[in-house]
Amino acid sequence: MVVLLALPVLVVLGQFLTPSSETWSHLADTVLWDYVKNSLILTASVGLLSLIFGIAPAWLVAMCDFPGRRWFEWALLLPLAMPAYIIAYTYTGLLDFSGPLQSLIREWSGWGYGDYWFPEIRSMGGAIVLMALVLYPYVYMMVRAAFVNQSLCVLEVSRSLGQGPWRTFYRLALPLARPAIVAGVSLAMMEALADYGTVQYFGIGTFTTGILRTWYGFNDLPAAAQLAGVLMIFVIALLVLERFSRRNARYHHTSRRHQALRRIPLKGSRAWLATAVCLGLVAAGFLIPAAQLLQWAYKTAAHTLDEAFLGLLWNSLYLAAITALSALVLALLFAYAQRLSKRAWVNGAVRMAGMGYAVPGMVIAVGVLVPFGWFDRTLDDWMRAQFDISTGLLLSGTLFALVFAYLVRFLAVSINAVESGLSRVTPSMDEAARSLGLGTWGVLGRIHIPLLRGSLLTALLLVFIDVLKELPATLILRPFNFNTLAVRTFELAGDERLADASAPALAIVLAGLIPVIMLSRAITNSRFEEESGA
Amino acid sequence: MNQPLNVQQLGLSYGDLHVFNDVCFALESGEIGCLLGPSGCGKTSLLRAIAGFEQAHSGHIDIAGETVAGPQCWQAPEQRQVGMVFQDFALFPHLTVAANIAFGLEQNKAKQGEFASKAQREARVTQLLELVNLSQYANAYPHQLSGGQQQRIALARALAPKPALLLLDEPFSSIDTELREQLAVQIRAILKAEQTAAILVTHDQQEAFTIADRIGVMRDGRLRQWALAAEIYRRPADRVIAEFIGRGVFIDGIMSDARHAQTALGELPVDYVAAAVDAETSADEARSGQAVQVLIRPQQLSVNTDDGVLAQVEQTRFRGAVSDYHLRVEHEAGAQHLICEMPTRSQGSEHHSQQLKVRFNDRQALAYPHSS
Repeated sequence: MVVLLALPVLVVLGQFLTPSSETWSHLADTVLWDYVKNSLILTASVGLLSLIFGIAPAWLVAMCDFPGRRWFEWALLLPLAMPAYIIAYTYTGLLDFSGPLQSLIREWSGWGYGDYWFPEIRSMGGAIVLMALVLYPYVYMMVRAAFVNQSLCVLEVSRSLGQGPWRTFYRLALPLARPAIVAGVSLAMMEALADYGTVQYFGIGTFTTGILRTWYGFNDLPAAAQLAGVLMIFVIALLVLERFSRRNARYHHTSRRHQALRRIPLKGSRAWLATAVCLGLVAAGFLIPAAQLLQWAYKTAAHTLDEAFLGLLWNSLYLAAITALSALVLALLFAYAQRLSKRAWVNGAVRMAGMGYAVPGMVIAVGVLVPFGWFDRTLDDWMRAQFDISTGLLLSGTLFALVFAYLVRFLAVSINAVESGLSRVTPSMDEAARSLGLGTWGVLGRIHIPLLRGSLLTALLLVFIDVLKELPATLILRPFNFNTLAVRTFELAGDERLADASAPALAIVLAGLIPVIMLSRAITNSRFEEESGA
Repeated sequence: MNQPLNVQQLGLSYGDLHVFNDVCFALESGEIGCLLGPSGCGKTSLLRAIAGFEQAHSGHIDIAGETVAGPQCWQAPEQRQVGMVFQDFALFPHLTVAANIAFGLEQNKAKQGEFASKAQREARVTQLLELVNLSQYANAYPHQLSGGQQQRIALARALAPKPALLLLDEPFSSIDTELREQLAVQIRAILKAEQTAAILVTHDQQEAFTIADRIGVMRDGRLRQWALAAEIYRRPADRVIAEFIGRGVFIDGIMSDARHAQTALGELPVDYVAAAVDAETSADEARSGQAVQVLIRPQQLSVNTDDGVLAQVEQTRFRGAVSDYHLRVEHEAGAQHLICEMPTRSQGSEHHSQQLKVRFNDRQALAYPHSS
């Protein structure tokens, strides 16, 4: 099972061993360098910008007090609900030549086309800013938690040694939060690297667009897989960075004592500046695009909310439901295998099965296509030779292939949720129940299931929403004429029917809000504990 | 009435690693026993084997006259008439206090008759809540209770189905030190009120003496001695136990006859304790002229007596109600070190002198074979 789940990644990495085709050398001569360059620029800049976008509000919210701080604590997470490709379409609609903003400028000033300078949104710069706007919450989330946790012990020592609050921030709080910063930034960079919808729409040649073009345009799957292999190396580098920073994070908690740190009250213009910074991020990353989507959706509701839309909705929902359920079953299987046998290889196998989350959907799609296509061809050839029957495509281009790819990508989400739930059921609880007369199945039914219910629901929900949002894997692997919300949004936007794309886009954003609300509830709860001195 | 617990020649090993070996002991009804030993001596594994969470590879276990583990049979934990209180209490966080206590009543098939009706079960829960003095918390959830309260609920939950035997695994390890003794006294009273036989495991001898009727000392996977609590203190079966239980030091001695030994403190009346474990040095009677080690407890000494032996004060330690004096006595066999304990009086009468006289002031000391 684990081998099967790791197969796509292994296949893609294995492509380095196969001889390169003509297409490959052609790619290497022409566009490969552009792909590398663009991907690197994009990833690095998104990382840098989300670092700035993330640390500033994290510090303000954790260390200072200003109007609206409590609200911003969770509102700053809202942009997480907005997939990058959707924010890209929305801002394009808002800011391009015929959009409301430029029309307004022309109306006021009487300028015509070419009379004034306006930043071109469909550019590398635009892609960087927009992606950073929806990816900064990863940095914000981790750094805020780090600031809150390091609270008392070290910071008070620093103050008592005569350092002012600002110097304390630079000399202590920031370096101490470094593992969290690196982890958050590398998450944001992984997402940037995996993005397909935005760069495709903005016409930027990166690895993900290159993979799809090589496959569709040149019809050369091996070359596409080799490109995917190169992309994987970047991902692995980021993954190593992230793991490494997490390992160090453990040593940074020197004290178990938690006491709310005294926030610096900001007054006057400084306070309003802080509010403005936070509000600006929330507005740019969520409120404005969401409002624009709402407006479009309202305008086009008459002809977009038809039977076809219901069909899309149904396709998306049941695909997501099937995947979420299968992921849950597998995650339970893995988590219990790990609990019952404490051997190292079981542990390693579970980790391996969870590796897919870091891999871009595009890479997984290619990694699924290669072996499935090979299987179909081989079986077809054999059946023809033996029985003169053509089996055609049994696996590739089916929902099975699609669900399988989703599982490879999102199983880790499920496993994490189930594991964290199961860790709260201590082994002695099992034993207590047994010494009180319960058999193995009784323990499962009366103790585990009631205690795990919340985590199981979380696991289902998170995978469900991830599947709804996933674009590249769906695009490549979906059966012919099978559309989902994400794919339809992408297609309509590609046809410059931005307003018509708003209904499916809005549905995805609304679904994406659910985990954000769950996260912000967790933050509110932890704040409650902080303040009650627990 | 059957013995609640009888363990014979019990052994457990994982591959080459012997966890415990050849363990024999029994408990009379209503008795509280305690397995005492340092961590890693196998005491918790022994407890878990009795509960059924570990499967012993040799010997047998009888609970209430029924063999639950032996060469031919093995009962699952849920079939044994055993209740267990865990180190971390393991209360079910999704159930109220009352539901936690009632949990075993609904499950236990053996007790189907007694707790068949809902009213009977509710009556039992109410009774136990009163017993542990937490009636007002019936509808609270475990996380709302303090550590000591959680522990009493865990005890009530384990007692509810009226098990023949209750097992407690380091029951006080997660309780504040100040509360431990108080809780130990309470738990002893509760167990006696329920007339339930119990075994607890601990590494703290103070706890063991407070709660238990019988104490077993475990070392390196062996039960070195199993005896009444006072007996363990008065007559430890070997040198290792003597060192472990209570305070005391050993001084060198030579047997002058079967009942007396010549030491730095003069000729002392001794009780010779033959080593039971180490068969090669074992002889019931001490020979005259045999080298021995004599156990001297701090309370057995008095100082500044007329007929005492001259001793150098090396160190004094103020311990509150009493002060310890570390003394050195010169002797032909080499300097002997002693500790004696003296009550602290209201007026400062501490001995500041560097020398004082010390005398053995008890009926008998214990002598152990040398180099055991």
